[in-house]
Amino acid sequence: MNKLIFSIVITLITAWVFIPKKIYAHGFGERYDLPIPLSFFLIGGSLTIIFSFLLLLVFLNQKHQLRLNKSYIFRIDKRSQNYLFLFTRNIVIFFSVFLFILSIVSGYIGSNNPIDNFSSPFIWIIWWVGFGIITPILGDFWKILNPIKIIYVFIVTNILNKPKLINKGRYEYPKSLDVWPIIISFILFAWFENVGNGSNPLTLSIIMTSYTVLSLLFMYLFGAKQWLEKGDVFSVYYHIMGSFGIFKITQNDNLKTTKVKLRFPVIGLTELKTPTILFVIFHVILLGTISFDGLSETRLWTNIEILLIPSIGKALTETLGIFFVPSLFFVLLWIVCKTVSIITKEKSTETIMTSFVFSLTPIAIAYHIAHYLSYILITGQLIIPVISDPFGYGWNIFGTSNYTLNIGIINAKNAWYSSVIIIILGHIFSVIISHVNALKVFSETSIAIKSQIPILILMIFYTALSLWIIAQPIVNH
Amino acid sequence: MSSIIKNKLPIIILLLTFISCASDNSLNKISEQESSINIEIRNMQLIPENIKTVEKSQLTINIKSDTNGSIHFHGYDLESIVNKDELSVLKMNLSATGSFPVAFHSSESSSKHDTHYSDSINLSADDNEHGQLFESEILMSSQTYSYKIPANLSAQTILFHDHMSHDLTGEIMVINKGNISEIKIYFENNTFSPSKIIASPGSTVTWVNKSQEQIKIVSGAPPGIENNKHVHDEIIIGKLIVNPR
Repeated sequence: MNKLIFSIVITLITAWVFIPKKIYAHGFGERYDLPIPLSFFLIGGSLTIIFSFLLLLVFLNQKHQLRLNKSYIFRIDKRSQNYLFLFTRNIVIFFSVFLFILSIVSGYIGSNNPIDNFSSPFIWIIWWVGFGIITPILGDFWKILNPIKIIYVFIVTNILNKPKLINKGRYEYPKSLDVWPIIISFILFAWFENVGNGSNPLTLSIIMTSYTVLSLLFMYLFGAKQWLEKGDVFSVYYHIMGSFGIFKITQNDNLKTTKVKLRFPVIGLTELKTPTILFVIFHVILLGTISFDGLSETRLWTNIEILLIPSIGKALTETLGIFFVPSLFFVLLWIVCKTVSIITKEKSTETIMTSFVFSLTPIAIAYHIAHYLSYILITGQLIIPVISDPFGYGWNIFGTSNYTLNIGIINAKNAWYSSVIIIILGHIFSVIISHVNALKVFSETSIAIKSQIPILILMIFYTALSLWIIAQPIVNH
Repeated sequence: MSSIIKNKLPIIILLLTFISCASDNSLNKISEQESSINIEIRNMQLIPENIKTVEKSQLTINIKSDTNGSIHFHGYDLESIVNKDELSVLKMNLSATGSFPVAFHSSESSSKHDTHYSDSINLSADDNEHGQLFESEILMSSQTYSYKIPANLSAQTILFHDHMSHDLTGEIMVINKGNISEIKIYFENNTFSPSKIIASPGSTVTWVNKSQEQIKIVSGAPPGIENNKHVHDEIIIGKLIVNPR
């Protein structure tokens, strides 16, 4: 009975906290972007098609599989773990946990105005957007910095004295769970980010606390290594994004970093294991929500909102958007892969989908960077005043609390050039990855080349969509 | 040859990126220029709606208004007090490119609407105060209450709430397009459905009490909620568009 009352109270509190009072998404900092002019859009689109055909010509003459540069500049092993390394590692780990705890605490005891509180700018701008940009460039450093993992390892090693719990939990990770935990948690996260009351510091802290408790519980049940590799949404997300980066980080069964290798950018994506179809769904949701975030700022979406909001409300309209865009992406991917399957007559649609899903990752990453470049540079400055006054109490610890944003830090023209070039680079990388995967999947080069034509069309569409979204901020109208 | 292209292509493109950015920076050395523009705030609308200019210049904005209040340029975070039928001058150093919302905070009360505006009317901050626009009787189960949005109302947001339960709030976003229609808002399961609607001026909004509770529909934010006032009394009237050189 007590449990029932407790559950009802918790549910009511949670519902009260989660019901959106004012929709912000990242919106506690305004965007002042100018949409890219038509000329940039056309040049970008044309270059996309030109590069696609150039790359196809290059691949047509190729007889052997791409030899990828796997030279490792340095590696960390036991011998290299000297005092300086250990000191630096401990400082980094300490700061990661400190910032995590500070974010949670400031949400509970600090100002409820997102701009005056450390948690909202840090979590949404610095971590989600900023770290999301750094990771594809450098690599999956989340493996090292994940504060919940650090806390768990500390507890089981130093308090419970059972380091075996890092590798093996109380139970085996159930096969039937597959990647459902990451699909569900990513949908919830995307909803919270785009529709929910995400910028409210108190709400954010409650979510972070719940996420921490659940993560620690699942790590205990299934072992930290198993859970982080299969069930933890951010570890899987950063693992995919980090595969694009120049550093490959390898950890042992006890989650200790054993190797840090320098590699050619992007090639890590070709090393990712062929996933299940459920994983494809997760990946498509990931791509779709990234695109929806930009799409929701366009005139097209405003028109849809005007049409739907009177009958179903804003929250439900945006929720539908979050589901519709990934669903559309999935259907397109399925049609393209089905076409490839028919053309090549070698592999099933499912095999082709699982083999080529990572080919779209570079375009998504490029779009993410292009879309948020000016945002992180301008709105990211919101972190400067709250460093001195994390709770909004009027402190001035480092003398920066009166800092005003430098809105001229990036010129619109530079932002346009960067955006178009980054998106085209993403397209080129996608074509290369797709080709490498095709050579692995299909028996002959000629079949591999043939398989690339429908996929190339999908990539051109995705690139054009990314360019179009960047050319369409609502501020243009 | 093909392997060279394969390996070097991204590097070549990266180099081209840096070259293009570097060449673009050279353009920034253009000396500063001065320009001026006349703008008008009439019936809560900015004329012209978009103030277009280029960066790295001094812009003098001559502002005329038919309403007392203050004009606020977001991003640059500059504010200027404007008095009715008086010329106000604001000087801006345009150091940043972008599209910056221009907002107006009216300082006039709603009682002046009828006397001042013959073509269209606008809500001031006070209009969104408690009960200023409409207030229903207590509605029992299945009873209704209707409010007709004035046909000459400008684009803005009208707040409403249930006076019996201050947590239950909603918004009518009035936009100057679309057809005049009748929109129903149902009260059931302790909530307004939909709680936010978009309606054109002249439309009729009807609240239908489908619950067993008693409700009372009142315009404005619930008493004691001061935070919302600032958000809603600020009306975006246009944009300052600063293009790069």
